Parts: sequence; C-alpha cells; structure tokens
Amino acid sequence: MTVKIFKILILGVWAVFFTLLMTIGQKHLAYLLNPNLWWLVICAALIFIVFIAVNCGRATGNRQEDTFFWQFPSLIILLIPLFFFFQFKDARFDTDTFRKRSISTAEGFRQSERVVSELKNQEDSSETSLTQLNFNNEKYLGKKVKAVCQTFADDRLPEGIVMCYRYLVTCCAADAMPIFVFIEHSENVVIENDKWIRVKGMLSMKKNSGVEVPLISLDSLEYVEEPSFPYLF
Amino acid sequence: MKSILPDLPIYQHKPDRKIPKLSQELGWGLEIVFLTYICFLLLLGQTPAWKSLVDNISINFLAVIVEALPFMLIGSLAGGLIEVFVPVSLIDKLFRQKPKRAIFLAGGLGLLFPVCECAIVPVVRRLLAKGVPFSVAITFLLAGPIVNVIVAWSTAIAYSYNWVVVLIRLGSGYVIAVTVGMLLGLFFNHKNGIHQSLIESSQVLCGCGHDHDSDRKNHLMTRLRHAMEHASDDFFAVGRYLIIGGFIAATMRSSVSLDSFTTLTESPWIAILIMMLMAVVLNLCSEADAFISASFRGILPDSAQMAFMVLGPMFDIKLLLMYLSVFRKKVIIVLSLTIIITVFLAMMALEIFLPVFM
Repeated sequence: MTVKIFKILILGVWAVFFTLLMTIGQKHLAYLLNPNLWWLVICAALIFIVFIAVNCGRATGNRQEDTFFWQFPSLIILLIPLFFFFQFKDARFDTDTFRKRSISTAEGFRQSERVVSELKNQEDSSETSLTQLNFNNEKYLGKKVKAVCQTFADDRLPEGIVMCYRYLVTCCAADAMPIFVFIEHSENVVIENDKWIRVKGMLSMKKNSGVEVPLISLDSLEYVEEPSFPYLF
Repeated sequence: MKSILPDLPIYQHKPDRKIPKLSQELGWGLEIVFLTYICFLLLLGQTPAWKSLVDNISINFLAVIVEALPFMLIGSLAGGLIEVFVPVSLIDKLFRQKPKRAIFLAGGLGLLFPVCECAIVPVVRRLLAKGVPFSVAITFLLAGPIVNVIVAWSTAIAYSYNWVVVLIRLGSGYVIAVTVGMLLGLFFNHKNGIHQSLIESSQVLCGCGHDHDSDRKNHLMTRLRHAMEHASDDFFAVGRYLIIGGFIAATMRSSVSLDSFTTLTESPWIAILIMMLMAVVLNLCSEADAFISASFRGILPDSAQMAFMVLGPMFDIKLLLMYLSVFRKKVIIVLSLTIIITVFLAMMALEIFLPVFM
C-alpha cells in the first residue's frame, strides 16, 4: 500500500510539474524546449493524469512487488529532475558554454552551416535575426542592421572585435549550438562580456576559419534585458 | 479506492522475493550512492566555484528529461496498447512463422511508425513480452530511431538537402540493424536473452496477472484500463534508467568541449572512432544529432560524421541504461560490442569505397 501511495504521489508531482510548465511556467519552458515541441509537455501531463487515475483504481496485493524499503531509492530517482529545477530557475548558458559548444580551429571560431528557409525568426520584427544575418546575408550587405544577442570577448579575437551570439536549438537546450556575428567597435568602446546587447550598424562579411561570417560595424550599442525567447529555433 | 470495472481472472504469483538477491542489494546500494552524489552536487552548486557547471548541468538535464520523458511515456502507452490489443496469433503470423523475413521487415518498420530511441525501449519490451522473436525485436530497436521519416527530414535539413547523405544514413542504419539482429539471434533467445521480469510476461499469462487472450471478451474500457496499467508499470520500470542516463548525458554535455574531439583526427579511422565516442557520450536525440554532426563539415571526414549519426541512435549512455530494463547483462555487453564493431567496419568500408559524399 505504501508503494502504491508513493507511486501515485510521484505521478502527481510530475503531472503538476508539466501542467505548471505549460501554464505559468512558459518562461522556464522557453529555456528548455523548442516551442514546436511544447505539445509534448501537454501530452506528458495528460498521460500522467491517466496513470494517476488507473493507479488509484488498481487493486493492491495481487502483484509481485518488492517492499517499499527495496523500491524507495529507484522511486526517489524518478524525482531527481525536479530537484534540479530549483538550480535551473536562475541558471543560464554563459561564455563557458559558448567555448564548449563552438568549434575553433587554428584560424579562429567556426560557424555551423544551416539552411535559413527552415529557420523561424523568433526575434522582434524590428530587429534582424542572427540566422538571417548568417544565412541570408546578401540581402543585408552594406545596409544598417539591428540585432539582439549575447556578447563574447575572447583573447583569440583581433583587437576591436567581439563576438555576439545566440543559441540555435533544434529540439532542446542540450543540442543548442551557437550562431554568431562579429561586432567591430572603436577603441574607446568597452563591451562587457556575457551581456545581452542591442547593436546597430553596417553589415559586411569577414573571413573566419575558412567561412564568411557577418560583421557589424558598430554605430550604437545598448545593454538590454534578456529576451523572453533567448534561443533561435 | 475500489474500481467500478469488473474484476478479471487473476494469475496468482508465488511470493518468492522475501530474501533479496545479491544483484538487488547491489542495485539498491548503487542507487543510494547515486542519490547521495546528486545531493552533494546540488549543494556544490550553491558555491561560486561550482555554480556555472551545476547551472549548465541543470539546464541540459531538465531539457533532456522534458523532451525525452514525454516520448518515453508515449512509447509506454504504445507498448501497453500492443500488450492488450494485439493478439498473440497476429504476432505469430507476422513474426514467428517466417523469422528471417520478419527481420528485414522490422528494419523498415520505423518508416511506418516513426519512434525515437527513448520511445522505442518500452515498445520493444512489450513486443518481446508478446512473443516477438529476439532477433526481430533487436532489429526494430536499432533501426527504428534511424530508419524513419522524421530523422530523414532533419538530416536533409542539416546537410542542405544532400539526399545522398540521407540515403547513406538510413541505408547503413538499416543494414547494420539487420546484421546485428541476425547475429544476436544466433546466440540469444527469449530464455537466455531478456530480463527475468519479462520472461514471465512472454507467456500468454502476462506478469501483471491479467490473461489478455481471454480478456478480449471484456469491455473495451477494461482492456484500456489494463493497457494503461501496463504503460504505467513501464514508466516505473524504464523511467529511472532514462533519468540516470539523462543525468550522465547532461554532465557530459556540460563538461566536454566539442573542440576536444577535433584535436585527434589525424587519420580517418581515428576520426571515426572519436566521433563514435562522441555519439556515445553526448546522447543526442536522433532528430537533432545531424545538426551537431553537420557542424563538423570540412573539419572531419564524411565517414566520421556518418559514424556519429548512425551509432548515436543505436547506442549511447542513456540507451545503455535503458537496455537494463529489457535485456540480461551479458546480452547488453554482446549487443554493445556488436553494434560498435559493425558500425566501425561499415564506416571504414564507406571511407574506402565512398570517401567523399557530402
């Protein structure tokens, strides 16, 4: 009976977690999952509710089961992801993540290649998507563009250049890959590392690690709040 | 709480679990060690020195679980429905009468029923319990997450609609799955291959106590209830492995740099081995791995990128742990080695005969 109650509790906690993620927790969900897959969260919540119903109505005693003592570690393990939620709430990918997820060669950082037509622009319409700047750049070359992205300053970059990046997510945050542009700034401008900025400037292309990468010659820069959808999808 | 649905014939099990087995004690101990480690890590995450790493692990871990757990639940539901609604006679007709033909059929089943690697494990558990031949189940387990339309589409997007890449990925996934299925079928069967808890379920009287063949006379709601009960049991049986595997995957993803894989690529065979290692370590979803692989274009040989895309959906840390809920340990060891060797040989053959195709 104890095992049955504990199992129902676990199912209940998961059902509540997925329901909250999909309702008041969408801000958190945006850090985890591509919105195209949010239906999975609804499915999971519904399935857990069904499981609770069948387990409540289930007779006990005729199934071969270990005692609660032997089962409790494996049952607690089922709750571990929820313990990490408290750490996750204020956690963000930072420059350390950028270093681990980007590929650098002797020539510099390497940009991954993607097909722009398949990528949806999740950014404010008044700004140009980093994906557009990277993969549809001929449309913007020589023009003034505006983009919101996260700064990355590194010793390997030339003087007066910082990188500005966002993560491109296919399914979930675990597969996020950085997409970046270069920002060229004058000597008297100091750009802080690991901050969200809105940059405005002229777009050109710069050869980097054998690949052409967009470069924005800085006209103006302002530090901004993190967007509600920090990733690109 | 009492059910309003009619009672069912009950299969009475003899109580034989009073004295815990050594493996049970060991498993219990390991789970306690794992839980202690998690508590310790969460405490470390409160210190400035560890915060960044634990933050990263938290995001990756929750992301993997929020994506994979629903797929596993859907797989469990499908498994429960198979258990209750698919008659043994149909399984017999489709898979048992001509097992060789069934292996080739199983390799392509993913095209009709696209499933990812997290969803396929509970489905295969139920198929084995239903009496699907061992070699056929192995083939479906390995091919399903590669030979399917969603994976074909994501691979096409990642490789700029290079359909040769798609064809080679799906083709080699199919051939390797069929080969491994046939090879393992020579040495293993239900009796010596599948997990003890599934052996009882592989008879007509399933381990839950329901007789599903006589169950067919019952009300649809009763049968649905039984299907959901099976699905719920599968969640408790497979879920912990998914969570432990997901945690290890998140830790790897947070601490291992992609650059570390690009430094030892002097020859194609080393590159293939390194990319295979990366597939095992990163535990990516088969719908997303092509995008990571594509970022190595121009850096690594085509065969090495293909090795990453073919091995990952068949074998990684998360799957290795989930296999514990289906197979005996010796089968997992043989299966792992066979997959690794077959993928390596296939990719070396690709490197020799078709070195450039991307």
